[in-house]
Amino acid sequence: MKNDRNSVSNGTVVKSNSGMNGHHGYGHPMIQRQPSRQCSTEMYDLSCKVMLIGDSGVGKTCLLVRFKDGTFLSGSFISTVGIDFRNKVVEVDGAKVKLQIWDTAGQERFRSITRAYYRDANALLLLYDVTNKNSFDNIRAWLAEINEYAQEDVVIMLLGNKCDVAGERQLRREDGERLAKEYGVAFMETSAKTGMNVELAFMAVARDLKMKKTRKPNEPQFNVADYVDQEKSTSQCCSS
Amino acid sequence: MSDLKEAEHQNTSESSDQGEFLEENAPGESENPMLIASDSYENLNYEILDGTSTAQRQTPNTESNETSTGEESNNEEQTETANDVAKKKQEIVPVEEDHDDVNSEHWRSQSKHIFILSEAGKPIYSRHGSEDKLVTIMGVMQALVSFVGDAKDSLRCMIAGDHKFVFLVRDHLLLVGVSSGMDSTHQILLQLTYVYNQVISVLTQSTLCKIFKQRRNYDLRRMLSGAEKFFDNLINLMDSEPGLLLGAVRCLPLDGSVREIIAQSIVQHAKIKDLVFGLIITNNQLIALVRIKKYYLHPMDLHLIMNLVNASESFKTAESWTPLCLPKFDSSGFLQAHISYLDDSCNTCLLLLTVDRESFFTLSDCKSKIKERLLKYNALRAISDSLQKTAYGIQQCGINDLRHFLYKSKSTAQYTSPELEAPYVTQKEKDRLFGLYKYLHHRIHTSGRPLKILFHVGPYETLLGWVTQGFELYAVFGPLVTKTSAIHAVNKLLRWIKREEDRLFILNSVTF
Amino acid sequence: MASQEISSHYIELCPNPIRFEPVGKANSVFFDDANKQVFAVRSGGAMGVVVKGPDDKNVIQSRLEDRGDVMSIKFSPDKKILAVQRSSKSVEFINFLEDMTTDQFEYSQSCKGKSTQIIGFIWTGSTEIIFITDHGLEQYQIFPDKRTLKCLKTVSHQVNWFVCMPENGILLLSSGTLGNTLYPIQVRPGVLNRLPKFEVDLPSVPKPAKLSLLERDVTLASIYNQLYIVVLRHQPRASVGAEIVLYQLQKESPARKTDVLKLDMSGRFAINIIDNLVMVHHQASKTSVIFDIQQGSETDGFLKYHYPVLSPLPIKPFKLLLPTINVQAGTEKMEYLCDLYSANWIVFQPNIVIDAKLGCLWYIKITLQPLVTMIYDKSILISFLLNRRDSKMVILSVCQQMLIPGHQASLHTIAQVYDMLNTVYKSYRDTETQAMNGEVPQSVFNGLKKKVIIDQSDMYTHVFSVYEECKDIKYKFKVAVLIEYIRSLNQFNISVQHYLYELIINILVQNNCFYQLHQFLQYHVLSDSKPLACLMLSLESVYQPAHQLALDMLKRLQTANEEIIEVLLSKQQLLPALRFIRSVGIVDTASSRKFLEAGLNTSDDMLFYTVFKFFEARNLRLRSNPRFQQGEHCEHYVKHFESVFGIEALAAVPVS
Repeated sequence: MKNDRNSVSNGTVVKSNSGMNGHHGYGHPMIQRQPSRQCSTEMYDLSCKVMLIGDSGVGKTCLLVRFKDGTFLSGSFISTVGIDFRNKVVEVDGAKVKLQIWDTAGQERFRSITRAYYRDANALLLLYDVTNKNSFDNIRAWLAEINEYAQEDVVIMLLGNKCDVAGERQLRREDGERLAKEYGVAFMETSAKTGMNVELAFMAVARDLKMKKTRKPNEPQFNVADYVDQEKSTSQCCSS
Repeated sequence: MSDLKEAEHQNTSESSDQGEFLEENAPGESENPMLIASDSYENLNYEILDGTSTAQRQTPNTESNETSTGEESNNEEQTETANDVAKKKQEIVPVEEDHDDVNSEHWRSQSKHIFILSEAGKPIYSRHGSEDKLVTIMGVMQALVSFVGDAKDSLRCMIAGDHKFVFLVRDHLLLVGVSSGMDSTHQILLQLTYVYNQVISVLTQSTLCKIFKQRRNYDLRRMLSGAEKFFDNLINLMDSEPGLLLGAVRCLPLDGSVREIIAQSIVQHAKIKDLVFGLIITNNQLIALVRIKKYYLHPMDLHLIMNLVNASESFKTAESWTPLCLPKFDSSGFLQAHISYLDDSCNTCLLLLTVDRESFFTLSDCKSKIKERLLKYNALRAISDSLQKTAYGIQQCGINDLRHFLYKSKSTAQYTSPELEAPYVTQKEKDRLFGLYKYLHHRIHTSGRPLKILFHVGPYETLLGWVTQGFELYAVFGPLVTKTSAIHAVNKLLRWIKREEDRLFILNSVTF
Repeated sequence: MASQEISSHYIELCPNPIRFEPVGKANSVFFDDANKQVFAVRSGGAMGVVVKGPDDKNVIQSRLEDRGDVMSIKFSPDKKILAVQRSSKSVEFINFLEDMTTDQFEYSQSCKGKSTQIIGFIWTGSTEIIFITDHGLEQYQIFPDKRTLKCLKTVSHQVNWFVCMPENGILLLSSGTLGNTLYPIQVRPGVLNRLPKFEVDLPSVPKPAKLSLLERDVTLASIYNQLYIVVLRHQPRASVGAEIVLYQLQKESPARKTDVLKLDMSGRFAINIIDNLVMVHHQASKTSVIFDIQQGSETDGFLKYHYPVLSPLPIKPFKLLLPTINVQAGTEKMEYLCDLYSANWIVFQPNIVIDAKLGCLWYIKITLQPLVTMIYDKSILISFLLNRRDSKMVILSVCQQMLIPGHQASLHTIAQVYDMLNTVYKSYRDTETQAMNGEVPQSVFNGLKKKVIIDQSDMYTHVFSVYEECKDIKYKFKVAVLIEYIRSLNQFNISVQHYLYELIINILVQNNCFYQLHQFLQYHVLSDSKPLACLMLSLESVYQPAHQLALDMLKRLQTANEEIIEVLLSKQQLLPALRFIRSVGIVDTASSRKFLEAGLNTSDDMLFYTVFKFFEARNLRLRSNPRFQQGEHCEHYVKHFESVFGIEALAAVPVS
């Protein structure tokens, strides 16, 4: 499968080992992800890459749109094709942190493609749908995949989305908490519809990444799980 | 026999002294096309039946009974029937759970069904109803095909009453089209080929084969989940977009200079290694296409690209990076597509197709620059103006009683056609008109008796089809038009298109 | 049995003979064939003169002085002067007043020359008379007031005898020793015109020569508007039947021998001319025969030889009611069976029989009805009847009979008969047209008017009506007969009346023969007409293609544009209607409102659109503006158009 991705166009094999940071051969100006002037309007101090993963239909795109635009995509189900990419600059303790957010398609056929981008990710938001037991059951598989392909110091946050849907809930918050504890990852329930904990999820990631970058050796390590536990709201009302 | 009828058609019986078809150069002709000059419809059939693709065939039309050469056949036929060719299907009603059942009247009354199933008879896709409830009927289809196949023969089509059942077997898949509409069996076969190519576009042919080689019984729906909308959209598109029928692409009418700016913007800012195609499309119309010199884009692939863009809302929310297989270009592997809209109203879509899977940011940067340049030269404004003007109206051609037409330039694989205006204001009438085009196209391209010219007087309109080496023209007149004035009108129309060709067609292929 | 009796006699005497006092010792009877008057002169007139006829009302009773036996007595044509010949030398005249009384005062005129003998006289005018003498003719003008005569003209000629046809003013003089040199003379008031003489050939010339052609064997007759001298020619041997020879009188040349009527009998004969038939009575056999010189005959290239139309048959017995002599009361009457063919019979032309002894004057007539069964061959029968007066109803009944099962004639015969009828019909119509255009004199036409004309309405009313009455005629036969009739009409270029077509169509429709009907129309067996087209339209419900047939018919008529438009619009066939007005070039005058209304009524917006655009284009062409004018009252339709297709779909008004 991996070869398929690389071997394109009538047998011409194009090596692509350079990854996202690499530059592209002869004659082309080197495109850099960093230095800081991506866009004249957006200045930032540091940037990091966040991936949204999880089964198809758990609400990855909605969560992202809520975070980025403050709106909720209601109505028809828009499934992501391939990988969508968005930037958002947030401020953590006075520092501008640019979040490059990769919104992936949840479908199985995209799995092999999205997998390739794990390695570059600084943080992974792993979503399941509290009204869909299946999506929760698949979390272990997702975590196994992360384990295999992602960087070791990747920040992982498990999100039980659609917590606003009271009637059709199949999973209790405790189920998520237990699983998160088992794997030692942060956890909270979110609602893209109401916006509950959405900002927090991304801000926690940004804070963690900022801490990692700026931490002096003697300072204590920032624990995102603890931070989240403090900050997250568990009630049905919004707290962002 | 009947005097009245004689009187009516007196004018149409003799053509020689009533105006000549001028066989001048086809307007919109180009020596330097960017698209693969689309196959004649006959070739396509040949290909379908052959199971091979044009890319692999050296001499595509040695055996085909092409009429466009015009040497052996001087087929001119006119039909003067008052046949109601215009009977058209009902509106497509969104499928509801209750209507899934094979026995439900609703399901049965759908005018066109498309089914995909695996060789083993497992349901993969159905246009109407849910596949799960159609297991039995799909089993029957599979049985029919394998029964005929056992006799070292292949089942191509069945006709039962108003319904045509057309079968296409490709790479472990069985595609079945059932239509009670105006589609001919060949047209349905073409549609099935498009659907098959859509499968390939999502999975690649090699993946498809690999999957079924490993597990004959595999439920391909797993791999195609989320792709249903592409099939749905493609099939709907085939019922409304003549380009798929014609094997041609429509360009957004733009001044040549504006188009040049747009193309040059892509050339300048996306001249990147491994970038194969850069194109801008809007509303199923092509604005610009830039390609690597040695590669051409096939209109069929372009239609799949348009379908991809059309069918997904998600591209409107963010820049996307998605794998995409273009079956005519290379059915065995993916290209990587950077897809983004250039304007806030999400009309103008830029696609950068590369073989480099890692070049997202490079291309994202290209996009920004292209957008910047387009803004600078007011090109985006020109595009949206052209879109707002809704292409062009038939009145601009200034030809009496001409209601609508499709003109395809064969060498560029592009076609042009005015907006649908009165009297085609309701969906029912639009569908009926499209049915007429299908009928006309079918009559002209009937493999057994291909025609160069067809003059058909119908109950609501008169159709004139004319195919030459350089172009295909399908014109719709009011029902009262005489043959003479129709001939005058199309000659006038050709001159008009010739005058407008820079605006209506992309005549110069731009390469990186 | 009664009918049997009727059918065996076709010659009748009129039922009410003119009665007069029979010839007796004291009573002489004279007949003036010019005025058709019978004179009973008793005792030379002294005992009274009774004049009767031609009808019973005008009975003139008068008296004459008895100055000897009357030889001849005749009124002038206006009955104001009575001429009486009592001697061979002179004729006396008596004036009559309006009330037919007389002053009894006679005046006289003698003939010229001493040896001259007056053979007879004829009136040629109210005051003009000709004496026929053995030396020639003497024409006098009478002045009744002065009671004098003035001689106008004399013609010198040897005369044996003369015959005269007063109706036609022809006088025929016999001359020569044998009497067979005949001089026809045209006599009209003031005119004495000699026509070329001719000789009648005699079967044998006696030796020595003596008068061989007798007055009694020569008759003047008008047959089929031609004047003939009819000569009875006795054969010298009795075994060979006598003949009647017809000499046709010519204006410029001697009379020409044209026809010979073969009698196959010998003996005493008498000839009448009735209804252009030569009727010959044979005394010995008490039978009569008739000849029709227009009927088929044998010919040797010069003469036509005719045989009797029928075998000899007697005149129908005649019963006369007479007062009984024996009974005192005198009120009772007795039937007296008259002796026919009696020796007392005298025959006058054209159709008069007088039995002087009985005191009866009859007109002889032919009743046609019995002939119907006597003449078996229908085509002979019809051609015979067509030449008769008053035969119309008989012909029609024959035609009807031919269609009734049991009597049915073959189609071939029917066709022949129809052709005959139409030949006459056609020539009548042609002459009528010519007469109206002044191409032929009105008189010729008037002559033709007397002929029997069987036209289409007669056939429809009296012949084809049998279809309704007689249910067991097969419809195929009905249709075949009608088609034959139509075929015949067409052959004679007579335009067929639509009711005949209707009849055919109705028969076909009643019998579900739509295919046949279709073919008839398609091959124009049934010619086009508006009424027919309307009938076809009404048949659409039973036979759908009738609609198209009707439309085609209207189109062929070329005079029914409005009807075609109405029909098409009523059927919501808007496009054909528009194509039609375009093809016949009446687009500019067509009512846009009518078409738009029909378009709206179809509830078919596409159709409405086409109609609307059609008239927009017309408006543009006519007025350089596509809009409808106020007077066209199309606002409603414009509104509808706008509501369906939008205002922008209206054609743009060109900027001038």
